[in-house]
Amino acid sequence: MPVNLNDLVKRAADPTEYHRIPGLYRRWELEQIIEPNFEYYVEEHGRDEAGVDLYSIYKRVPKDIAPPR
Amino acid sequence: MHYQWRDFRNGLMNELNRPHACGVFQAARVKHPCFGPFESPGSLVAWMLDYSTHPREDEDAALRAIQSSYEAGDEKAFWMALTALGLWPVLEWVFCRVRPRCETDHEAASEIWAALEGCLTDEAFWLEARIAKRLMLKLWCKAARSLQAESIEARRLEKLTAALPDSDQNSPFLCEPSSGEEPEYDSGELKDLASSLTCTFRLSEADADLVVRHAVAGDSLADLARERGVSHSMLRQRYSRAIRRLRETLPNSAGPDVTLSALRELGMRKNEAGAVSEAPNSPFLN
Repeated sequence: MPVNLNDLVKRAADPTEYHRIPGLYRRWELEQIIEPNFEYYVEEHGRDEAGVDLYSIYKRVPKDIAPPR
Repeated sequence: MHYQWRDFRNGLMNELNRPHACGVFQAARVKHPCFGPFESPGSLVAWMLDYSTHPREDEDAALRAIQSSYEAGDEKAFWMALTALGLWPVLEWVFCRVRPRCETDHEAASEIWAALEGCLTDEAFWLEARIAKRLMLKLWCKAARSLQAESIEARRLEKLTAALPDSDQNSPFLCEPSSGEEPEYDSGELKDLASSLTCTFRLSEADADLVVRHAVAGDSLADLARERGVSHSMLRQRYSRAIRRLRETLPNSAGPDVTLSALRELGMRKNEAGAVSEAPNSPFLN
């Protein structure tokens, strides 16, 4: 299946697609990240030196309340 | 949709930072030992961009592993983005040379992207040494060749358009996409236009959609070819045929007596047209 460049560029600018929040987070740091009215996706991302799990967090605007273009 | 070169880069960066991208990379790390030292796709890109840290053979090995992952997996956009970002100076070099021959960044990026996709599917290309340098030249040649073919086609269309009466030149169906800001069309409008082309000009649905997407919405033929899984040249030929058919069928293009297209509809060959026009009593002229 060929990769459509237009789709790729559109996806990057679309707030209703998940975009990664830079950095890696520990479980107890999530409460500083989470804001109302957004959807989040959390992915495991290895462990730190102390053996604590690290997570990468993705955020998006829910599709039904996306602002008009 | 028209975008700038920086939007293209943002799109590539976004592919590396999508959910599951790390998972895809981690799975490839198990399969390809040369990815081992890199925790994430971002660290591999950083390593590839820092030429002072590694010998060329290691870079070639990493590029071969990327190409093999591209061929093997479903996440083609991810692997293409990784290749493009890891070889970003190569792409910039090609862009600087291709951009003056294009009207927009969008067009140049599409050509480079199509060329990169072609190279990634050519397995033999990745077997030899000095991949980055050869890729740079190959991308440039491929993109330049494709642009040259497009420019020949554009000149041909220009000649055809110039040969038509003035009223035809104002037809929205015969205009090439403009280079400036394109108005945004919603998909409903485009569908309506395509179906009116199908009804009025008896174009096939696929051809009507092609004309509307390229001439009205401004999508490049290279992108449309990729979307439809056909070659660029084949789609360009198809577009030319559809445009020719529109020209032939437009009511205003018909002269007072008879046109070649009308004769063709009657099943006559082009070279018989002269003979017919010299015969005023011919039944075809009535």
